[in-house]
Amino acid sequence: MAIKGSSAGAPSINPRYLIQIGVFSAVYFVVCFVGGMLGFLNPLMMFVGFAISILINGTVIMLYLYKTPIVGAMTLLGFVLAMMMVATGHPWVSLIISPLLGFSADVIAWSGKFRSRVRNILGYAVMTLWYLGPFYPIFTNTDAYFADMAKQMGQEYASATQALVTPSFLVVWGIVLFILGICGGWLGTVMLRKHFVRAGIA
Amino acid sequence: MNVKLLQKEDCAGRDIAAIKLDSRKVSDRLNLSPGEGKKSGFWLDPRSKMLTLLVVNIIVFQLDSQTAAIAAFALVCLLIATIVPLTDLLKYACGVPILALSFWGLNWIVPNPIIGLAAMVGIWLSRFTISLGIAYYVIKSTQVSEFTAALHLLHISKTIAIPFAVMLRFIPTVVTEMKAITEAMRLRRISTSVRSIIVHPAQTTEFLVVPLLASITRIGDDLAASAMLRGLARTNPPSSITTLKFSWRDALVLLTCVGLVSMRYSGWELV
Repeated sequence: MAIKGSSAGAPSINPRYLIQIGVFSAVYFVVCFVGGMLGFLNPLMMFVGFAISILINGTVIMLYLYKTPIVGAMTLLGFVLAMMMVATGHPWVSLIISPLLGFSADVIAWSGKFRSRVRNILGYAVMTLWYLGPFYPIFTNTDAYFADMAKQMGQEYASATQALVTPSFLVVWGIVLFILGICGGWLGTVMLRKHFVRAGIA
Repeated sequence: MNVKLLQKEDCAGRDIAAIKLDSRKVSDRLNLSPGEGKKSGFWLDPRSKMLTLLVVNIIVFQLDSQTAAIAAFALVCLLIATIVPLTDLLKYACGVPILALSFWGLNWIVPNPIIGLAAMVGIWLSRFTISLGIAYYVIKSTQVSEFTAALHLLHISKTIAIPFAVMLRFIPTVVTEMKAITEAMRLRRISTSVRSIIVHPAQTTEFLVVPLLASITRIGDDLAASAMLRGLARTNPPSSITTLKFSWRDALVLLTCVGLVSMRYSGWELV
């Protein structure tokens, strides 16, 4: 007979889960990357690409949270993602922001034992805020960042970007990200219920 | 301890049993096929490769120095030359400068702010292809077992090393699966272009994401099972078939990295 409150039944980090984490981070990263690639056509399309990738990743993360119900799930996803971002040349702050956001997402989802749909969606929305990470230097040393950009990309590009990407714009973008995260998570829940529950995977 | 039981004959011709202690190296004991465990071509320690990746990325994405970026591009081409046939290398080595020069030339010919903006984006794009090149080299030339062994030697805990290694190994699989699903959808007359994602988003993503996740789940379970069979859950430290050693090739590549960094920070410009 299981003793109530014992940790014998609670899942903990084991190699099987670590591999699942790797597998789902690969899918998450590919979807993000493809979404970001749309930005090369036109810098404004980058935000559209991010929006699409957030909506698609909702399904991925909902399934992921079902398959790896441990607290390290989103934290490690955030950390691995941050390493890939740093390796592709983004600011080093992502290494701190992404795992922290992932950890908060983990805690939110864990409070519902990873089975509460609402909390999973909230956790995913919090995790989505990591997209702000690459823009962090704009908050801290705005002038240095744009002076750097002006030196290399030309004054027109820097002025255009500075006019567009102000800190207030980034706050608005953060709110948009959160709403997109909720939509993506909700979409993911619908997908999960419609297909994966019937197949027995979720 | 590995022992072998041999059948021998003594001087009188009678069969005696002899025991021969097996003192061969690990790689010989395991009856590996001729290619396995041997280092091929211009073999670099994965740790040197990771350091090179970091250095090249930092240089290429800091928009300050043109010369260092060109030198980094030369390094990447040389490294790719060690693993890829010459024709593919030429495609890459010529394509990237042509891309960069065409944008730069366009800006020179037509000094228009909008063209200037597009040109700057194009030049940034060509720098990104250098970063993609070095990433391709690291991923293509490093086997997962070497990579995990290198991370272990760097004293990175399994909790971080395993997801990272699995992710790197899995990204090509995801891309392959995506392509297969897109083709299967095309057979069923469901278009999967960017336009259809924007026009009817829910349907398109449903047809793309659900099969992808289903196959990824299955492949992930297979991968986990095979990794457990290969002893991923052990607690004792692993022994490696390929010994990861520092050689003259690593020294050469690291010196080149030091040269790149000093070139970038000395501010010496050719162009």
